[in-house]
Amino acid sequence: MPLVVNMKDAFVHKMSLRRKKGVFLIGVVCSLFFLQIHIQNSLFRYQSDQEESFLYLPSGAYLKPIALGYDQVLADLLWIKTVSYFGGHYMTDQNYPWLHQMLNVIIDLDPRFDFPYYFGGIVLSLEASQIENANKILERGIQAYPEKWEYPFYIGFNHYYHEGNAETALPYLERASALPSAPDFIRSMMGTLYTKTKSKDMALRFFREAYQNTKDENIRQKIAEKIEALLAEESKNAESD
Amino acid sequence: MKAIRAIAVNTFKEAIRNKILYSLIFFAFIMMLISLVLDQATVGQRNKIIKDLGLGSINLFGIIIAIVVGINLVYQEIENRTIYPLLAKPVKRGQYLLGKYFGILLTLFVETLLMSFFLFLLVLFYEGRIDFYLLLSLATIFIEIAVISAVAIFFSSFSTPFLSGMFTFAIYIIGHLTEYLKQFGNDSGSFLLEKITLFFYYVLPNLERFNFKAEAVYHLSVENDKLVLTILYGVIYITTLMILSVVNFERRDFK
Repeated sequence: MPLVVNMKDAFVHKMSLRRKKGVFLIGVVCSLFFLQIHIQNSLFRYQSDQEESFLYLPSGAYLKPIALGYDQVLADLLWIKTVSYFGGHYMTDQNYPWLHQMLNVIIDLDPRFDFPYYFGGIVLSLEASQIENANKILERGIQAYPEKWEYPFYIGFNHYYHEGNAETALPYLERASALPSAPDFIRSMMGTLYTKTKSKDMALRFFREAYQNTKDENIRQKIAEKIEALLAEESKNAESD
Repeated sequence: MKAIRAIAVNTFKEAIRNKILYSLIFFAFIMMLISLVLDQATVGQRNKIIKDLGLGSINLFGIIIAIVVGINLVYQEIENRTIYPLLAKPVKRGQYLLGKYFGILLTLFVETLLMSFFLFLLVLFYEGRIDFYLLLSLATIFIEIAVISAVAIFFSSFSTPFLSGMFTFAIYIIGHLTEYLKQFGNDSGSFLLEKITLFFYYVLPNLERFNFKAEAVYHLSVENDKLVLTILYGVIYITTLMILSVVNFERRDFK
């Protein structure tokens, strides 16, 4: 009987020791966990304002070999990061110094990924006022997708709308309108630009050609109105001479 | 042939027992999480990103499993001395090694098949149709995995698991850089360096040849000849490695 009692006591003692050890270990783990949270928060204070400088982002030419065949995955992850970068700055300072670089790296990694071309072409010009950078990205878009009319059209638009330079815009619009998928309104827009560049003969010739080649009735109507206006202006000038 | 098949099937069963296919749950979980997060995190082309990440994950998971399983299987049998009764039977060492390799391939095939099935389901859910173009990339990913398995078996036929793992991983990295290696040699202007880099270019596996992810995701056309040559390249490379592995393994002294 005493042996059984002793064994029982020993068992209870062992269990209580084990429990104490368990509680002690949980206490240690919890303390370490809270300590690391505290250190993390302390380190946050040392974070420089320039933390988001993206200086560590190497050029796509160097990133591509490192990607080991996962180029597209890397481009996607960087794209998600770019969208978040844009969103963060759009809500705060509306200043996007690294957007252009990020988009270029994405394009280096995955040149067939077409959304960054649109995004760069539109957002960099309209939102970030980086017309030159926007046009550079769109030029890369033309190289990757020569069949898409949007990229030369956006470059033409950027030149005309942001820089007010109709002469530089026209060759791009001509290029866009020559593509089979190009919508009719580009031709009508080109006619307007010819008028602005004072080459009225050219504008008239262009509008007439556009009128014949355009199928959309609304646009045909608008082109006809422009031809009439040009002719009226021409006759007015002739009368005054 | 019968012996090879028996060992292959046994290796496959062993892999299942080792719960290797549990990694599929991890894959499924990652893909589900990504597809849910993508809605919030990105603008446009969600389907493209899901396909990219799906193919990338299948590739990465396959390579990791190929290396881990490939370097351990033979070594474990030697360590546990289970190889002795097996080799005492009328089974040649070459047959044993080939059986092991085909067993690993079978495991990886089932794993790739199940992961692909999950990716197809996800694409069907978001795109409303099955994208059969992905099969092109999945097939070449499997060949790449088979090449890496052969590399792992080759190193494990004469080295320890740790070193075999390091070597195989190094080959995997360099295998994706051989084009750059060749270019480096060409640009160096040194005759000797050019020849050395050319030697390594041909000796090491050119794993970028098996990368058809862009073609699959963007539905780009691929010449049939190119595809046939790619498969042939993979098969010949694996055959060469397995011959070398068998030769090594037959000369190995088990003590």
